[in-house]
Amino acid sequence: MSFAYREVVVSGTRDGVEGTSQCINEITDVMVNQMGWVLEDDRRAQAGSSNETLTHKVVFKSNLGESNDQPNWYMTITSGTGSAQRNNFLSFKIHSAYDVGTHDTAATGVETPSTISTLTLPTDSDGNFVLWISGDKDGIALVTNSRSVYGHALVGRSQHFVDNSIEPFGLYINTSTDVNPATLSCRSIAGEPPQAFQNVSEGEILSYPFSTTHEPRMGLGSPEAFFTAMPLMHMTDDASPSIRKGAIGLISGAWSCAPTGAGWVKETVITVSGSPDREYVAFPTTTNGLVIRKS
Amino acid sequence: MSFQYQNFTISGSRDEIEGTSEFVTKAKEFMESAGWVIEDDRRTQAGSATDADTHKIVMKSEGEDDSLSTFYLTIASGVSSVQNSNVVSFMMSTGYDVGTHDVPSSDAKIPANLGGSDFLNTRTSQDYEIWMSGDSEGVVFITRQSPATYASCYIGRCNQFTSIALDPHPLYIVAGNTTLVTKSTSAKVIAGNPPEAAAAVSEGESIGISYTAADQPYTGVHTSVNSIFVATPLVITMDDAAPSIRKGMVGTVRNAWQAAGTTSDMLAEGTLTASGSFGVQIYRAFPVSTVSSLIIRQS
Repeated sequence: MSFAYREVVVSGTRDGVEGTSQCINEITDVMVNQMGWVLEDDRRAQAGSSNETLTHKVVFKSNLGESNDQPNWYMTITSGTGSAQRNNFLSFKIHSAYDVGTHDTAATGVETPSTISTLTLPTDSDGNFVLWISGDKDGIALVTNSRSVYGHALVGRSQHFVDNSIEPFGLYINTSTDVNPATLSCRSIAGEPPQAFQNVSEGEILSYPFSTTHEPRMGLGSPEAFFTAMPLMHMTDDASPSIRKGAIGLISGAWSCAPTGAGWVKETVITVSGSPDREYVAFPTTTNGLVIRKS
Repeated sequence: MSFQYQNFTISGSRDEIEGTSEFVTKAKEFMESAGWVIEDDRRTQAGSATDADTHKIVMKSEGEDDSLSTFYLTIASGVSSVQNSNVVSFMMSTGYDVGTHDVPSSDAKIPANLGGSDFLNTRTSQDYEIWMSGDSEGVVFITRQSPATYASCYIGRCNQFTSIALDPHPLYIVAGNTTLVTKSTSAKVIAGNPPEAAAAVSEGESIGISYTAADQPYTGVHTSVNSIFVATPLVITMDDAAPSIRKGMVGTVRNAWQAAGTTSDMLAEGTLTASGSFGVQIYRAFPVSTVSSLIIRQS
């Protein structure tokens, strides 16, 4: 399928479904019915459990990616962590293989993080919160805003610098309770054979360091208020027990921009003229701001 | 015209021409081969404290595309009155008057005078090595005076982010007179319409992603392919705060990129091969001991 975007207000009160579970329903609808992911394992009928194979979750398959010739990989999203279903956040995991019979990562696969509770995105069980979903079969960007507290998740396959024989996967996954996409704690699946980068010190998402002194365009004739968004670089930098490092590629469907102090209007829509014309949504912070594609 | 690359050694002893003047002559020949036009040849002049009178050449760029605005690059031997003083000085301007041999007051120029901070170390009588890379819109000059002593300068018209209506002259000079410069907080920039000159240090920057030895090169991930480095564009921005704010992204540098430093095990002056939709190109790396290094196109 193709790129899809949705912005929706989620609440248990409005939808008659607990908010975190409803958030999974919204993500599932967009990823399967609009982006083209395959719902490999639908475990939304399960209650919460401390056993990951038994808990309330959905597992998506990348369905050969946007080019339709990439190795499949899998993304698990659970409601809450451990036994605490409906716990005001989603949890994420990526893996190179999945066994729907055992509801677990196949023995031949690698996965990250090692436990589902490591990477979480804040939601709300019964209050209103806003959910943004943007992406395609190569990767998704999720943003939530619950009572003025932002969170974001970037999960996807890097736009590789090397060919598929060297990097068949090149996957990244990171969540944060802000909208700063740059991080020194990105998890990855990279290399051939695929290896998991499980720990916070084993990967990075790097950005161009724009500041309020550079942005926006001003004092150089009209028009003014131009902002620049730049690609994010996915790196691995594991030092121990053996060195595993290198630039993997660019993050799919998300960019970094100037911080709030440069004059961004929060959650503003920006238009990029080119071929084709596109719209993006910006989420500024005091450091790097996140930009996701809207159309 | 098209991309050009040269690497050679010159010296007053070998060529019977003083070494810095020989750089100016070599730069003229190189730039003409890349499509620049000699606008004013003042190599018969002695050195002078007056920019209009000194020993210099002025090259005109009409760009790789006929729709682009003309701009000028002045290369002078020495600084002010001191011709042949182991440096070449650079100036860019949106206009040039060959009759007065000077930049008209109505045009923007960077820096304000030849021999400001934008110069490149050479040698008068001893051997030194030179690399020149570029096309009719942007060039890179690198000199090596001793095995471990480099100087560099990248000059040109940005690959601009905005239309030519907003930035008819997105120009930059970034010089490291004793270093291999990549990121810099003292870039000189011309941008805007009408063109505005950010001619002083602190009014422009060359920005790049910060790599570390911890993330370069590609090692230990694949069982058989190692030592792949990544190089990314350098972004030119204006960031002048006083007396009035003039700021914004201008574009990316031509024919020069930023890569990891020597601490990441890059070979000193190694060549790197890049392949992609542009075909196969060769790049030359000039690593330094810090976290970022300069990469220039060789073919």
